[in-house]
Amino acid sequence: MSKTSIRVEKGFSDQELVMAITSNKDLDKALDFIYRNYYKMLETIILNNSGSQEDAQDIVQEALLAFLDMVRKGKYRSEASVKSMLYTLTRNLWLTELRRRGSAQKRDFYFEGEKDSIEKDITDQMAYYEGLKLVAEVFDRLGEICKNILTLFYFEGFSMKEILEKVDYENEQVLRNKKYKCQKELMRQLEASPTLYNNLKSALEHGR
Amino acid sequence: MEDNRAFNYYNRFDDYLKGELDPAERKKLEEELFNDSELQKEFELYKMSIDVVQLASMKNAVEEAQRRFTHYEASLAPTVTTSARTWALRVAAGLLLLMVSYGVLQFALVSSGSLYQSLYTAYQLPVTRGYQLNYTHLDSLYLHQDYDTVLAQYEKLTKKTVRDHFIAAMAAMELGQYSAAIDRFKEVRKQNQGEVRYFEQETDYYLALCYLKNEDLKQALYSLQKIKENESHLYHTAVSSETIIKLQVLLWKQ
Repeated sequence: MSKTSIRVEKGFSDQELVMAITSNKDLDKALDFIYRNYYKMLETIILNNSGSQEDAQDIVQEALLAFLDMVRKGKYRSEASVKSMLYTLTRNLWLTELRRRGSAQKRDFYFEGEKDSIEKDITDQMAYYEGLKLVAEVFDRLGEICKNILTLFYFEGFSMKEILEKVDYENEQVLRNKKYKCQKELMRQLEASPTLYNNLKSALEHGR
Repeated sequence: MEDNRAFNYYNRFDDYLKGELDPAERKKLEEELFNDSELQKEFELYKMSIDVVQLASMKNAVEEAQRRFTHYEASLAPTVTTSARTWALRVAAGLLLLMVSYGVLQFALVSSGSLYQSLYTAYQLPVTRGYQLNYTHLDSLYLHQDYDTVLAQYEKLTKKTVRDHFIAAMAAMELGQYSAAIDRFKEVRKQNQGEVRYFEQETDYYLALCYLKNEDLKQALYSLQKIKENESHLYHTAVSSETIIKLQVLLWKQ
């Protein structure tokens, strides 16, 4: 499927969404489905509470990222629907952002009532996510080749043999060496910033 | 940690995290991690790097989805425009159909006689108290609608004025003698060469009606179009676009 055009060929149940995210199969279609079905609702949370459309785009992206991470780490509990989970994540992220901006708006915004059971999980997840967000930039500083190899291995779930068919390396050993160097460089960058390292470590411990 | 050692450990870390180590190897690695704080720290850093890769990849996937969605939303705008255009076209098509239907109806029903009837109004000579005593004989006859006598008396006049020609023309029209009326109106124009012209615009209009009744449609159309184009013409409002269309329809039929 072309990445430049959106094609939602079928609907997804919550279970199918979780499957698509966990297995990384049809992830693009699942994300397209979420955007087409839930974005307007999520956007409204921001727009109705002093946010702009740009704010909405950023916050919804972050909420989706937190949700994907939560699902992939098995921390999503299906008793809360995907829709309500996204709603709560978006609401909390926006509340955090408003607090960060020092807006008085947050007092009016803090919700009409329910303290649902997913609240604590989300707070934990948010702290974890906040830490992880900081290091996404570190990954971007790696070269394209490194990013590609590491993504194929750790995100797409391809074996080294399968990756070899996708990249231009003589043999699997050379590819393994390259992957080792890439990962070493990434770790070096993480280690180079003690603040970043400690924040991330704390977040990982909190999130696991 | 030097490279060879690290390389081996990293491969074992991957297998361990994927659950691909056999139980003995797994136990061995766990013992090493438990007993070696440096190795443990390296392992934590390793896991952290994997988290970074996964998070960054997810971030890219979400950003791509956002871009596709934005593109999709933008593509809806032209759809709306197209829809609006479609509606506009439908309305235009409807109007066109109405116009065509109207045209067909007009084509079927319009005749020079019916058009003439819709345009003709009997000419009323100006009647004011101050002028009553000065009415000429023809005026008087015309006011009494004695059109035959108007024409008879007109013929007897040795010296005919513009006014006489005009009253005679109007009387001829009333009697359905359109060719005679045309001749009289032409006399009006012929004599009306001075600085002050009498009955000039009345003549334009009634002469055009005579052409119409006489089936000289091209001349009628030309005359009425001139009146319609001239906003200050006395009969400008009497000639509508519909009149012109009907005349054109008559011409097509002809």
